[in-house]
Amino acid sequence: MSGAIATGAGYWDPLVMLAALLAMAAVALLIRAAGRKGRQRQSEAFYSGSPAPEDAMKGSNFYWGFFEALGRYYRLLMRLHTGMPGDYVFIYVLVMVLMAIALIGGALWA
Amino acid sequence: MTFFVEHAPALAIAIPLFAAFAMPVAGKAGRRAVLALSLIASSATLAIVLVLASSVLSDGIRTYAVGATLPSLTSPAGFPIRIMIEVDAMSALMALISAALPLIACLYSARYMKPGAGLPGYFTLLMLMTAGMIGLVTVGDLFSMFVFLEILSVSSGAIIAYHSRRGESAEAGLKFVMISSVGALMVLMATAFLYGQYNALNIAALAGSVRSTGLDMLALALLVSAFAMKCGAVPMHMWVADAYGEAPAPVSAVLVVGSQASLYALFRVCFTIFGASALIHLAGWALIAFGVLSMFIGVTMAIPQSDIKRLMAYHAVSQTGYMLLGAGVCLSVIGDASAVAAFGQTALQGGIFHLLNHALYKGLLFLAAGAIIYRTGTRNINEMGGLARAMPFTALFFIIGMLAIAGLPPFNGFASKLMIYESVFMLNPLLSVVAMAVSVLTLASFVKVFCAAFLGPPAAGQRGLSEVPLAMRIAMGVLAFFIILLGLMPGLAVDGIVAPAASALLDRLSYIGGVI
Repeated sequence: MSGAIATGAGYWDPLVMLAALLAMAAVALLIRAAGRKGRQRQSEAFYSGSPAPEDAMKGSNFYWGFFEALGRYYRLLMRLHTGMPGDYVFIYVLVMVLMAIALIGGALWA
Repeated sequence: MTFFVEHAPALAIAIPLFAAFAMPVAGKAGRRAVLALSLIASSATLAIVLVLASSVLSDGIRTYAVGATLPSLTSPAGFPIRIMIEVDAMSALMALISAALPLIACLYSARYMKPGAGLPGYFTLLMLMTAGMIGLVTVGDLFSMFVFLEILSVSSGAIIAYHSRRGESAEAGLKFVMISSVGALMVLMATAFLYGQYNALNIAALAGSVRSTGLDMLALALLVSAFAMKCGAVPMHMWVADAYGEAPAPVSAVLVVGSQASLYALFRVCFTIFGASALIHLAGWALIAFGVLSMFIGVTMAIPQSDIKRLMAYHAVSQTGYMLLGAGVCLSVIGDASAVAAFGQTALQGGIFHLLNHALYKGLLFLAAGAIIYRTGTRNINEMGGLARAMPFTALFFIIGMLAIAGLPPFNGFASKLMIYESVFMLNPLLSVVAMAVSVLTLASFVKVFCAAFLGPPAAGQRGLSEVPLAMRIAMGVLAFFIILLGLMPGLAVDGIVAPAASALLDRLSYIGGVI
């Protein structure tokens, strides 16, 4: 069957999940059909019940707390990402040298 | 037909190479001729690669000696001397991806790229990239691998700087060429070390000869670090955000495949050439370290980005981490047959399947980002809003790509990530925890982009926008279709080509036997 795959500890069959999703959708539709008729449709975007301001929340406002909590981690990352090609090459050569030391050391040890 | 089947390995490289050099001539006949040539050439390349892949999957490894009286004359004096193309299931899978994405990119570019004097040059470089990628993943000797790596790097560097009036594009192209040149030099040096020791450039011949001498290990370190840098592994990933971010959107989708071609080279070196080395498990642990760092640092760098393409570039770094982790886990236990059977092979299959899935959903996301930029004229998500109403198809394709990259069931990203989670868990549960946490952060990052760009009221100056042209929607739709298909029927890909590709990497003797 081309739907399922072995995943190491078990298997994954998305068609079974799809069937479950369809069953849940049917239940949701049944509940919806039992609801009140004549509901007024929402036409404009809103925040917490108020009309959306023109200068709405922007992408960079997301996850403010996450960045505050990880401030030190991000300051370190930003310091490393200098945008200087010389730094790119330096880091690459450094990694290469460390790998060479580990592998040649291993060969000499063995 | 027999001719095409017999010469398919050479034609897969020759067709895009010929189209690249014919493109300036077609440019004299106008824009339509350039578009027609690019679409015909990339369709023909994909057709030839399909023929090649089908023959490899049904009949086994295909070898092709370039310039020999017979293509099958691989070792005329008992030793391989010519440029050799050797295609096993892993190469076939990579060649399929390398031929399919450029075709999608050509279709998308037909409307995305503005008419102008540079258009023949753009398609020339796109065809050269295609030839470079297919050559890199099919050739059977290290020196030719270096040559195709250079073709790919130089054409990629030039096309990244295509919008050279933007200073940032020229800078990104220059940075890419600079770091790629250093990496290619290291590949050449490692090739020279191995040639000096074993008098061979052929991968199969080297695979049968290498030991674990200090010089061999130095060559391994040079090759692993160079190809890991080229595929964007942390901490050598910094060029990725510049290059993917500044290239035209369809080129970014092809650049993803270019990085994956380097990942293929990394796998080929580790599994086929050095697979029997006593110290290869150390390289496996290096890949695991690269993988974990790439996953975590890639995604945490993506979250604060406000440039939609740079954000996606960092996600590409993060997703490459999953592939490195899967392959690294297998490589770290390759000397233990029971561990390989218990979880190593599944980890490798998961990594390879993720590679295929990543090409599809990251390609789709870059094209969706391109569609947004095409209409809004900005790449800053702070200047976007409410696009879902104006661009419903683009919004739908973006959601499909977003759910796939975040690894939500039943999309294709979930299937490959699940294979990686479960198999990697058996080596060290902490690795699975990191991989799952990264998926959560990936979803968080894309929720931010989706909310900022597609929901809420339209941003200032973005009222009255409309959906992108049909050609661009078709290109995105094809990728979305395959994402859903492989999500609902992952067995189709895993049984059909992923498992044979993983077996081809693990079965060194078959690869060696294909030539010698």
